[in-house]
Amino acid sequence: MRLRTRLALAFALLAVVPLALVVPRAIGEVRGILSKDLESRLQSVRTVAETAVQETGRDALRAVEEIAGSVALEDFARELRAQGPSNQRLAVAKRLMDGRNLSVLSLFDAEGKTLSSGHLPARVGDPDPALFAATQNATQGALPVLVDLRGEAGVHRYPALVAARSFEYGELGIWVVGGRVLDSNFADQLFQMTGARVEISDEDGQVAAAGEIAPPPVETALALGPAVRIALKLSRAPVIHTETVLVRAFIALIAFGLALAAVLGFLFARFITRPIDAVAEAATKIAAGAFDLKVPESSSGEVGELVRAFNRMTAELQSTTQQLIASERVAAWQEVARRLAHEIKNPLTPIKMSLETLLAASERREPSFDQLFKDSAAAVLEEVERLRRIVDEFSQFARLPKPQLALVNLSELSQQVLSLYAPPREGVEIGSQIAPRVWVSADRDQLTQLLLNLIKNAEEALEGNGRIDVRLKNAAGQAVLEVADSGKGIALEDQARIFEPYFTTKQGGSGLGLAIARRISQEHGGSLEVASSPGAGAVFTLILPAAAEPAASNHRADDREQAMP
Amino acid sequence: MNRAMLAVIAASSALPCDDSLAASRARYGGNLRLAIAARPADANPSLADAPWDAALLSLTAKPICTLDDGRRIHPVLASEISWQGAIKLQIALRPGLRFHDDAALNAKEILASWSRLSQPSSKSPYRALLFAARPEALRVASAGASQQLLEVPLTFAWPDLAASLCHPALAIKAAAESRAGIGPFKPSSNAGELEANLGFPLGRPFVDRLSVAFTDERGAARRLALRQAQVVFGTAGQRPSADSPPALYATYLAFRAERVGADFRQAFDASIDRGDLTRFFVPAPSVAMNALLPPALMPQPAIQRPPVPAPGVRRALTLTFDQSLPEQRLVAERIQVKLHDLKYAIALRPVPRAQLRAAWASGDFDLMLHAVLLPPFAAPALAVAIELAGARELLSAELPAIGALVDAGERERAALERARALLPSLSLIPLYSQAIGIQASSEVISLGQDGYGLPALDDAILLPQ
Repeated sequence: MRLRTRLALAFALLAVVPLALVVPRAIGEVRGILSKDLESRLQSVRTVAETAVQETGRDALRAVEEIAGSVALEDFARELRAQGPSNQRLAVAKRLMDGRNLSVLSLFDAEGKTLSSGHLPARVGDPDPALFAATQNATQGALPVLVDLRGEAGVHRYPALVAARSFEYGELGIWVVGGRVLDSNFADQLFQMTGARVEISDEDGQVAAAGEIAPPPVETALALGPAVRIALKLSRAPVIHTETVLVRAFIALIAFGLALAAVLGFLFARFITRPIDAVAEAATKIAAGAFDLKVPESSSGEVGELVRAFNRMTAELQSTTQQLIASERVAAWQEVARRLAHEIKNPLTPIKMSLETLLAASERREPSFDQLFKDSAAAVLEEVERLRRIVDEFSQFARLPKPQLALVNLSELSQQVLSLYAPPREGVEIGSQIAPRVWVSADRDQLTQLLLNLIKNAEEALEGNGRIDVRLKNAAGQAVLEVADSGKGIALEDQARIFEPYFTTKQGGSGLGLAIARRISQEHGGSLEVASSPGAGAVFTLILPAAAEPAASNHRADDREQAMP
Repeated sequence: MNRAMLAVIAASSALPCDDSLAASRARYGGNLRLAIAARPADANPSLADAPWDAALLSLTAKPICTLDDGRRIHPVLASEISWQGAIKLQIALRPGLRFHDDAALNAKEILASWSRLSQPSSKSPYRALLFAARPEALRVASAGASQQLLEVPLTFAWPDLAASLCHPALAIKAAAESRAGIGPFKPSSNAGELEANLGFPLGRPFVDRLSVAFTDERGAARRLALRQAQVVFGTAGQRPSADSPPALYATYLAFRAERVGADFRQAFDASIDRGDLTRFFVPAPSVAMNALLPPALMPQPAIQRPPVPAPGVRRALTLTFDQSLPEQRLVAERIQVKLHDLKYAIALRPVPRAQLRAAWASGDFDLMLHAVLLPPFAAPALAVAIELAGARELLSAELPAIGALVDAGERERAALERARALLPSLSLIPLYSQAIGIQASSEVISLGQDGYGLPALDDAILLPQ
């Protein structure tokens, strides 16, 4: 990862981490406050519902007491005592109920048999133990009971708040039990008062409900006796909505902070790393040889010191490199001079010996002086020729001209060079795999010399018998020419020096042929390498940049040029 | 009672007084105000079987005969009803009878009125009254200016056919659009009024006019107390007694056995006390009915409440009843509440009477409260009960054997014995029977009843004040 990226990330983290630490706590605090508020509202709703239930019970008790003291009840008791049960008194309880806001009213005898019922006339003559049970705790006010109510669809049980009072008419005792059913009307009334969803249930399940709230709910309940329960529910949806809005806002804040921190961090990191990048870029260029490059010293602090130190290093490197180059140049010339001196000295020794022999023979008036003079003259001439060749090769190596580049059909050139060796000498096979129309931009003469050197070198490596293969191909925009021999190969330690001037492994070799060939290849922007194993021959590979095949007219011009003697 | 005798009695009641009372002797005339504690009756005779409905209808449309309180046949539209052998009934129609719309009465009208009831599409249990007859084979034996003689062939001997023809459901109505009848009164031009039919074959009624008002029970009692009505039908004024009219208006609970389950009868008998029904929910005069026929026709067996069966799977049923009868609603609610504890979830369905009969005829019901005005004879009453139970196929098996008994007493005993034997197998639970509750002010005398317990308002005399 780049320094700039790391710096940008670090800035972003610095911005995000505090938020990430603070925001959850803040959300938690807000959530707690909202929950407490909701709990408080729920408690308030419960209080209101409790008050409503108690008020309903008090109303029921008042109504029952009023009925118990009414003239209508006395008339009922009188008729009952005089005439006994009759269907004519079936509707008495119903008439007593109306106008007193009661939805349950039954008149019982002392044994609990129903004398008249306003909410369930069909119960007359039967006991109603559930409702009559309210008479057991008559002094306690309204009590929760379960009463049967009849509708066209059937009989259903509902919870109710009822009160009971007794009425005596002589020996006739009548119980008045009345109250209010906790049905959907009651639930709706509670809903209107509290705003909470109201669910009234008994032991068999829900009997009435009112109000709708969005889920999820939070609930409190009033238990009216063991069988009746009024659940009051408020919606947590607003709290959740507020929390959601808050979380989203914080997430947006974090995201914005993160983005801003990333951008600012990137910009600041870029500001910091720009001189470092410049140093790295300069180092790359310097490694490529541009020693005179200087990095602008516009920064301060450690980075500025780095830049200044780099520039100083660069200057010293340049100086050192120049010194090294000069030293190497001197060393190279020294080596060349040493080798040249060694090469020159070799023929001078036999020349000197021959002349000394002639002088000695002359002084001794040797009878074979003439013959001796001829032999010595021949030897001297041979060595002089050798000297001349050495000087020519050295001159050629030293004064290798700049190549005159032109499009050359390397395929045809290779064939022409090979034709000079046709037929090959006895014991030598020459094979070729020349790809057609491989063009290069080169100096034709230098390239010819290079090929001749390689083939001559391969022939000399065979030492009598063997095979030479010349292969040419166009590979990925490069012309690749291989000259392989089946000679004894080149030792590994010699392979590194084989392209040095005057290095040779052959008797009588000048040691300049491969050096010249490599120099030619380098002057053409290519390379010349060797691969060999002792006993397995050697492969010299010339690589040159391939050129596009010219147009047909140019091609024919090149052919005409080649055809000229 | 003969109107002449009544007139004499009424007149005699004034004799011990001095001459100043001579003007108060019974005489024709007056406007008798009648209050009925019920809804207006349906004009269809076969549906007008609630006692006050039948009583009101019989004022303007009579069958060919009536039964007196001694169950004796009195020809009304017929002059004579006689048997020509065991399986042919001969009816001599009175000549010159005309309906209230002035159409002439002839055998065709008789046939049409009876055919409406006897045909298979008739939605009435009263068609059992004509089971033995073949109205389609009714023929006019002779038709002269003075007399039309009708012959009614029977498929088997059924001596009680003549008495059955006196049932109010067999009132003769004109085939015309008017559906007018022939009765002691006829519709007046004033709404809610009937005027005396001076051409009634048995003689005109004593009162000139009858004003009819429909109200509820309390309203009827109020009218009576305030002298706004002289006669009130349908008030629970008295308990049944020896002098009470016979309670022949029988209410049953019909059920579809395949819908209610095998133990329904046991559950019902275990949880419903018929005495409570008549005590608390059905206005007097009413009596509990445990046997197939009401107490007025047969002794009731001792009530043996079976044990309450264990509540089974909850069964949802619908109880259909006549919405025009308040006591049926109370009884239906009672049944609903009492059976609720035995896992029967019963929904109530009040419908008009015509719809009730249609549902009964099609068998489209679970439970149904069904009330019929039974004839005061056991054999035809048995036939109606069997028809009501939806077991018409039993009529051809049961009635011929009973009809073959010439002696009336033997027929009664045979019919009662079959009634006892058939009850457990019929999809019918007897509940109670009612008579029409009647109260009259002191201005009204000679208010008797017929063999069905219906008041004979045409015999009523309105004393001058």
